[in-house]
Amino acid sequence: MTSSLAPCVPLLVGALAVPFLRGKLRAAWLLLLPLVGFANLLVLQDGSWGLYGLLGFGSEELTFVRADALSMVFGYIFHIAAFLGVLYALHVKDRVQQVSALVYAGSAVGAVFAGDLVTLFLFWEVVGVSSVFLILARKTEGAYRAAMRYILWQLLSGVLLLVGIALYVQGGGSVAFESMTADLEAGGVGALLIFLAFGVKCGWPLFHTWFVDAYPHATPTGTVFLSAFTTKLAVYALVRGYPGAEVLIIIGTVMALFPIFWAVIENDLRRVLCYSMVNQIGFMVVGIGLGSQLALDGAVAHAFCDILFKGLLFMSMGAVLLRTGRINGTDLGGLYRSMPWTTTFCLIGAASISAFPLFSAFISKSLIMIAAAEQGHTFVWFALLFASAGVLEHAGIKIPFFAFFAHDSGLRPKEAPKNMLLAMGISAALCIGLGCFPGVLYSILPYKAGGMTFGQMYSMTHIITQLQLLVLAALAVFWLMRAGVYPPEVRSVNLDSDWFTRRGGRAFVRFVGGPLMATFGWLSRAVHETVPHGLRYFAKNPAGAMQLAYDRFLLGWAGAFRSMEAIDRAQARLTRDQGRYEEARPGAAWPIGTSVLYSVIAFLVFLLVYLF
Amino acid sequence: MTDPRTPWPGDEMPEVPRKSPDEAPGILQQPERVRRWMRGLFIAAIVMLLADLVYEAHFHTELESGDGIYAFYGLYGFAGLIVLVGGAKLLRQFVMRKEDYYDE
Repeated sequence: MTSSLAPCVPLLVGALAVPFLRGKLRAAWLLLLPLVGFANLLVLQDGSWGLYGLLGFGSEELTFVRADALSMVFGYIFHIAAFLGVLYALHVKDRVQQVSALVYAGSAVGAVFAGDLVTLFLFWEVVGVSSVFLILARKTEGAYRAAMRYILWQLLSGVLLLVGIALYVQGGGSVAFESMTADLEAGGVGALLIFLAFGVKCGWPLFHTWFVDAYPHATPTGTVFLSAFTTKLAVYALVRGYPGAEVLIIIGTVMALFPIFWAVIENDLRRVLCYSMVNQIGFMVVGIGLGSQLALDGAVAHAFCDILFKGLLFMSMGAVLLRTGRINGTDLGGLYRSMPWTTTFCLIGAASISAFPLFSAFISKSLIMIAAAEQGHTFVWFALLFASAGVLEHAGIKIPFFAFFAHDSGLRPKEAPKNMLLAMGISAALCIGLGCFPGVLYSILPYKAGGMTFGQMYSMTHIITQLQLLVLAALAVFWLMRAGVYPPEVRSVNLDSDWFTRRGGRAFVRFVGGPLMATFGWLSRAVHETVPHGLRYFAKNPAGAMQLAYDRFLLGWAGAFRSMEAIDRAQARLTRDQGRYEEARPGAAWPIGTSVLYSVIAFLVFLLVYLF
Repeated sequence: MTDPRTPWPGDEMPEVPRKSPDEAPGILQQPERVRRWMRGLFIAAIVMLLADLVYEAHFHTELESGDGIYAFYGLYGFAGLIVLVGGAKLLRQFVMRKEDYYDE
């Protein structure tokens, strides 16, 4: 017996009470739930419990709770993110958003503690469905459409996961959620489908558009929740399920590289942050693919830090959106004057994601870089270093610069509400705290960061090389701006691979509605009307029908090649046989045997058509 | 005149106070100050490049030393950003569309 609750219980059950509470009581309740959940984790002991049966699995085959170092790290950060998100959104009175955010966070927690694939699947689906309300709550037409596209991607991931689990278990795999790397690399279809299901949620290239598209449409507070859970849950699932799967190194490198180009030219600043998410998750995915203890811990540590600094950046942009109603780089600028605190916190987030020494990404991303170098992945290492410089450009400089500095928009909005400032302040403090005291994070990682120490992380070499990279990269950016080379913000959208689903999808719908429906309509009429009518006509008097067909042929022949008399004769013959056809009762005019023969032939023809 | 803004109907649009006409110019509206900031950044960059002369680097792997090239990280960061911005400008030629491209 255990003295603690299942980790997802405080958030999930607590969410049920939210609609019945009012005012300050509800606010207190919302803040209390993540704290209770966090305290529950502190007394949670390692091990598996909560065995149950479902979907044809025996009564003790499934494991509701499996607590080990890996799930604990994600449990901690998900509760911290839930608390910060709730605090940030405390001024929002919309109960739909509050309940869905808690259910969303709670099911993400449930998923990282799921001991088997079926439990994982159940939470996986709840994560997808509960989160869509945070997008719908924006209540704009664009948000509605984006939410519909979003839910399709979530369902795709869920279906892939379900089918994958079925095939995997049927193929002799264990339903327990353990590493499936060997099965994947042996070509198992089930393992591959599960891998793809994780990949969709993780935002691999070509899948990444679901959140790049949808997150900027969510409410100012909703995006803060969204950025924390879904993709990091997928990172967790990959760490657990596919450590050392080498294809992830390539996928991750592509993820780290391509979005930085889109981020330079994107106008919607929250969408810039989404591209930045793809880029940061790319680092994590590379770490998972490298598969060494150092690399895996690097991926986990970077996910932990990313939730905080990306959350902080989304919070600062959410505050801007809330106070100005604008989020495009073209509409903003000069806000530092009336929003100094938001500006400061945004700059701390920017320094954290850019991996300045003493800020959080410096101590997490470096683990992955070092692992890549140690394992001799030359190209990957150079690519990640380039991507690191790219991060400084779009998240480190572009986000704060275009929102708070740059050309003065003349807007002087109010400073963000106090609860938002408090949430940003705590996030900022955590970002700096993690950067200054990496040992705290390293000590809770599954492999203790491969024995990495503070001294190694803060060696003179590491500090100077990193500063050199960042300062020179920053110089390049500002120099290009001053020279007028830097691409100016333009009111525009940039095509991405979702063009294929959005425009291609529309073309597909048109094709289905037009040519395809016409073809099928014709086929349908043929199958349901023309052919049966013909068959009935034939079956009523098969010999008569054939006689008539022959008569018509003769008439046509005479009409084309013979004299008028011949035509008259053929016409008379046709008229006579038509009379006979009509008079005949089935089988009457012809001996039974002949009818049977015809029937057998017709049946054989039918069989041939049917079989081939 | 209406505000230029995000195009979706139904979005809340708060009334935002505007700057008063007698407000002092902002930090980026003072050319001398901007020049000073750029000079500061330039000096910082030079200091970082020279730092390689005065300390002894210890890398875990040969790869991390950038094959021993002088000030490899600085040069790579500077060149990388130029490639990045150039690439993004090029990318814009292909992918940029009007803001209402996906609207019906």
